[in-house]
Amino acid sequence: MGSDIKRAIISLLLPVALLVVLPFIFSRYYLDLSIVFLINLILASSFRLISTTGDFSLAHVPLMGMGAYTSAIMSKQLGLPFFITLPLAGIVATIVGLVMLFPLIRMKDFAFFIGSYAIGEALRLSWIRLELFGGHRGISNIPEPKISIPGLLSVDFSEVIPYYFLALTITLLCLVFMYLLDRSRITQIFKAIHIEPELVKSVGYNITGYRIMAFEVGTFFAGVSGALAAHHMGHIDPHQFELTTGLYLLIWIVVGGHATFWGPLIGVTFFTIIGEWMRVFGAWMPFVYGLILIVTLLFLPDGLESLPKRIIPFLNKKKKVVTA
Amino acid sequence: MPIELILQTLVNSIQLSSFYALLAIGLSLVFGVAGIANLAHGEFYMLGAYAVWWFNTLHGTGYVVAAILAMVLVGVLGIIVEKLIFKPLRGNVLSVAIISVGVLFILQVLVGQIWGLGFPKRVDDPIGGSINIYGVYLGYQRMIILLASVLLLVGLWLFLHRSKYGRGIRAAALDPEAAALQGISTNVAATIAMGIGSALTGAAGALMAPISAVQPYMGHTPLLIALIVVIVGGVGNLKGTILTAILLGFLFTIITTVSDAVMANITSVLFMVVLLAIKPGGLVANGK
Amino acid sequence: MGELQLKKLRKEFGGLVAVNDIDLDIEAGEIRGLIGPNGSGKTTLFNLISGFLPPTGGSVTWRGKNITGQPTHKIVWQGITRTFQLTKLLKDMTTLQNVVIACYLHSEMGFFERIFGAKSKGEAEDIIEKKALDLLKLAGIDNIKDELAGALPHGYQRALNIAMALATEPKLLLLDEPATGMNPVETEKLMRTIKLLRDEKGITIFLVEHDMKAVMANCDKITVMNFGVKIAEGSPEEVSRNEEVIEAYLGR
Repeated sequence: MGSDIKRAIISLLLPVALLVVLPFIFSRYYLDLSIVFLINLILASSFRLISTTGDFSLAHVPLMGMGAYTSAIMSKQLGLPFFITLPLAGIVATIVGLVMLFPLIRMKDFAFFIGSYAIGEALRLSWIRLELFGGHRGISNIPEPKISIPGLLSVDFSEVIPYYFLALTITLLCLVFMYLLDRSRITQIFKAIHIEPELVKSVGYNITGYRIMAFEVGTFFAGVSGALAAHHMGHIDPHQFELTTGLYLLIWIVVGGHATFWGPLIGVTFFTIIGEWMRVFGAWMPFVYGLILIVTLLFLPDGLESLPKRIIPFLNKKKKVVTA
Repeated sequence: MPIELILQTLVNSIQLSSFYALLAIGLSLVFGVAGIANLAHGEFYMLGAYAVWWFNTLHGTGYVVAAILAMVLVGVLGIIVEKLIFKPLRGNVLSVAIISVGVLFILQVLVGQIWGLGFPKRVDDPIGGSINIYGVYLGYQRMIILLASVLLLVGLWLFLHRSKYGRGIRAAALDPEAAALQGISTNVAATIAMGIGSALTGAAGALMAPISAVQPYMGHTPLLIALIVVIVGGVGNLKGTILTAILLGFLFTIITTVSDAVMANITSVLFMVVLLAIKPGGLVANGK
Repeated sequence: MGELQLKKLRKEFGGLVAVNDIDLDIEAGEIRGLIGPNGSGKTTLFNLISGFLPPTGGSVTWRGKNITGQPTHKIVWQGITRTFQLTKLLKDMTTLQNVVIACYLHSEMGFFERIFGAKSKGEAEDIIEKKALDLLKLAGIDNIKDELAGALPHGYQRALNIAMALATEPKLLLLDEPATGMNPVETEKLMRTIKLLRDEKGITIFLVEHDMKAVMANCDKITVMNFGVKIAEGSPEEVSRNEEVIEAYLGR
């Protein structure tokens, strides 16, 4: 195993141990918050995965919603068990995402940004318009996941602690996959496409194909996070997946940083904490988000994850750094 | 289909188109001249409406004075935002767009917290009511909007084509290097464009204030409309913007009449997607 | 019958005709020079051949197959690779890493190895790295393999671009002003490398250059363009004596 994988595992031992222990310390309220936190980790990492090719997608949250609706409808209407509807949510999201890509992949940069908003909004409006998705009121009474192997095992995830561990397991699986993908050659290509697309094209890469790959993999995890959210909240409606949510997601990633895998996770953590501090001033949240975004982009454009890099030269004033 | 319905739809379409054109032109101007995709555009519109409320309803200055003050105020705000927030990132359209999201949130919350989130603010129309010709209703405020929009757009055209500064910023939009060589700095061009563009957007808000719900989130739909018009009509392309505004105004009105508002929204949004997809080179600023 | 055949190849941008019905044949193993004043359409021609721009009219035939309007990556796989006038590199990666990225695509890695093959040492990785090093040696820049590409002097960056192009195992190389910013010594070295590529690897070379001495001394045949039109074609001696060519360069 590579030395940086080893380092990652060791430095994560403590946080993961904390995450495992927390349900026995936290109150119900904070446990709910933690579940949402975990779901957001998947959402943010998958958003960043897509953005490594330079595509910032405002369709990401609507596609999460597609996963949420899929799991909700399949489990409520068809009575399918969670362990089927969860991956199905991811798959349906990728299929819808693929349809979106027909027009969307022809766009780049700012056009892609706006186009992804437009197409995501068209999807969201269709939930309002179609009977199947419950219109403005959405879908309620989404059944809780259950595992029942007759005679052996029966787990009901309607309780918060079991659901927490379910969410934790799924989140860790998703994050590990995305982390491994981040370390792979494929992500090197994604990043190269962002920096010098013509060069990458000129040595024979099908950059459209790679962009599609990044988008679809990210969308799969968005769908999964949607399913987790649907069964946790028990109720979903189109307003939860509005533009504002997508903009908050964007801000998590921009403020946390998106150069490495850890940036979005830092962003989600940072804003979850701020969200809690500011809970009393709920109405000011967007203001705080906006202010932090502006300050970050003007004074720390590479995000919070770049802070160590900025501070270390200050601490190392005595050492002379020799560059090649 | 009864003739009154057709005529009414026609009248509504024309009125809506004029509003769309005025609403979008500011965004098109700023995007074309300075490469600024200001996603807080809807909030500038909202502030125009709030300004009229503040000056007229609260302080009784009279509607016309309030509207003019609204334009000035929003224009100045635009310049401040450009200099402090957009200028450092100018050059990268996506980055400016992202930072403008911050401006969007700040303005929305400030307005909401300062003046409350309850019932929408009330702005009286200068001339209330409507006239009825052969069964077709023509609202006075909507006619004022049409008239004012046309006047402002003509004024803008004259400025851009006949005045020194106007030609300067057009040059800056087409070829920044050549313009710089002729003494027209991109910074000045951006500031002028932002000032005028924001003022026009504030005007749109001021004009719509008497017939809209004046509340902090009223800018959301106008932003979407402006984006569609600008993208489809061509960034910085005055004629294209106006033509698209007309097209979209008619499309939206007809679909709302035939179906419903949600369908109209879906259609407008898909329209934008299709055009973004087939436009060669995506969104590129072209000259007016 | 040329290896590369252009027939009435045309590119219009709105009202402007950048490439005006060009006919051109290049034989296998030729070193062909393409010269002409700035703005004569040379880079646009390269863009048309290599799939970076779709032509407005005409055709591009390669080894008997019509490749007109195909996307760049497909054209690369059929053996045509181009370099750029303005250096394009992954500036925050090392010289070696840049070439490795190009080699990676053209190696024989299994699908899952591609996805999860991390940067740690593995057999396939070693083979790719060795191939990359060989390419750097060929381009004469293996001594700076661990330098950041963005920090390299200009001439070395151009050489790196050529190394990356070679990673694609091309049969035809389109080199767009490879000697830009090079001093005469570096240019000489570059030309020797180009000759070597043709002599030892049989690569056909199509070369845009402004350095007249280098072009005249090293090309088998030269094509001259002006305002999107081919105005002359022939051996270096013929072309240098051609009146239209002289006028194109002197009388602007």
